Amino acid sequence: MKKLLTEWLKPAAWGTLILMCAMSMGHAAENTQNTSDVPQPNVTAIKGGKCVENTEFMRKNHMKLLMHHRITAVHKGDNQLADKYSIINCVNCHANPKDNSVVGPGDFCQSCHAYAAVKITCFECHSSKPSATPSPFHATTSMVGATGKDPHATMVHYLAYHEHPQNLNSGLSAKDLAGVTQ
Amino acid sequence: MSDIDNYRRRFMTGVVGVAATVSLPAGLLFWQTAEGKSNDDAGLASAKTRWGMLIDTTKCATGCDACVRGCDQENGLSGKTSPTSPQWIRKVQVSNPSTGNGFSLPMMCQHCEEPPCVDVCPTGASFKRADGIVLVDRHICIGCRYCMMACPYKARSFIHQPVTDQLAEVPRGQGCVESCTFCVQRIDEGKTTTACQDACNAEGHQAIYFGDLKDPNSEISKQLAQYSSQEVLPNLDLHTGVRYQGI
Ligand code: HEC
Ligand code: HEC
Ligand code: HEC
Repeated sequence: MKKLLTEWLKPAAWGTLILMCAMSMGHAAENTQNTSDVPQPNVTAIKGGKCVENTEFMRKNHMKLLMHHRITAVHKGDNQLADKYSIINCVNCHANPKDNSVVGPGDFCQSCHAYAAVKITCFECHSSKPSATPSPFHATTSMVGATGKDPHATMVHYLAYHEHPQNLNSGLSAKDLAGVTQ
Repeated sequence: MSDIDNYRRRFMTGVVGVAATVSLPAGLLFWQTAEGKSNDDAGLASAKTRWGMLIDTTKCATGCDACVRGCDQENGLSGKTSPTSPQWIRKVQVSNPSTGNGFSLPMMCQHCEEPPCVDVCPTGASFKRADGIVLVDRHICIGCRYCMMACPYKARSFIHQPVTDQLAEVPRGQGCVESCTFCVQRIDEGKTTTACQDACNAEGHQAIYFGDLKDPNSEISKQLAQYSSQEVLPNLDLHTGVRYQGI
């Protein structure tokens, strides 16, 4: 009897727990866009066009891009407004026309962060409204910013700081990476 | 020489040899990296430039505050002058009690070559860019205000209240120290004038020159070469980027 308890009951309890977790996750996924087996929040990108990197990559890595760009921008003067990873750029494209913001309830950054229980303070300082003078970068019309800088430049800087992100497949040519990654 | 010394010598030669072979490719790699990036670095702050300002106090009009208003507008400051309001430029009236002679000048961050604010900053938020602009990285600033106490020009302000409706190009918020940035948002866009300079020119005073001190052909360098000018508090040896004529 003692043997039965230790050998069968414990794993059985674990099994039930895991099953319950899986079921509740499945339930969460039902309420949201079900494009993959992972639950996803209901995020809509307001303005059309393409994001600065592909959607999958952005979903996972947007914070790394921003956190990295803010170092190169502030300390090295990396063409802040014309740069595609500028936080101004994100706001210009992702602001909700209803309240002209990215941080109101249901707005792009807020809705997803509320879902993921993330709290950011960026917009205590950074404007959450699209700027009156739109940024020169537009993914669909031009891949080269107003300063004529290669749009991959910052990505190359990023890669030089961090390792090559595995799931990045957004048109970085071998030439861009030459001498940067190993 | 003893055997043991010989052994040590051979051993050390070996170590140096190994170190050399290991470090050589690494050095080449860094060199390649620098080569590959050289094009991208074109728009970055570079030590080939040192931004500076020259203020001709003989042209600066007493009672005029166009530069202050220009700065407020460019950077989204409230324009209030209470002790707790951030002010990036102040108009200062100076007079010599023994002669009665007086004049006015704008006082702001002097963008020192040896900035005391950078020396005292405990987090590294206060820093000098390669092109000589002294800034606060507000992502790192903890609002301790040591830099404000260290600054001999009282050029820095602390934001006491929450800020709303910031300009997109000039993010700023409660709990951080800030000061004149030489309109870094303009410089990084390739422009070469500051808001205070534009405002002063619009008033017709032409009292402010701004430009690259390392370029002998810039207007500011020519002015500096032709006329005598001074730093404020030259005895501190801070080698300020802002100089004054007629003080
Ligand atoms: C205390 C104020 C403050 C907070 C909070 C803040 N920033 Fe900034 N940020 C600034 C300032 C000031 C600049 C410099 C702008 C300049 O030099 O023109 C800046 C620049 C940047 C830049 C580069 C310029 C650009 O337009 O993209 C990025 C990216 C950035 N911040 C991202 C962030 C992110 C992400 C957060 C939140 C995690 C954040 N910031 C929080 C004040 C702040
Ligand atoms: C040119 C307009 C544009 C700019 C600029 C832009 N985005 Fe996007 N972004 C989009 C679009 C459109 C989508 C949705 C693409 C899709 O549905 O496949 C998107 C998707 C995203 C997603 C994934 C949302 C999801 O469905 O999970 C994130 C996160 C994101 N963007 C963040 C950012 C950040 C951060 C910036 C600034 C660095 C930025 N975006 C700049 C247009 C833009
Ligand atoms: C697809 C959902 C989604 C969207 C849309 C989204 N985020 Fe995020 N964001 C996240 C998640 C999840 C995290 C936390 C990741 C972690 O902790 O590893 C995060 C983290 C961050 C962080 C880092 C926070 C920290 O303290 O480390 C920043 C900065 C950030 N997001 C900015 C933005 C901005 C700006 C936008 C709008 C342009 C945005 N995000 C839109 C999901 C999203």
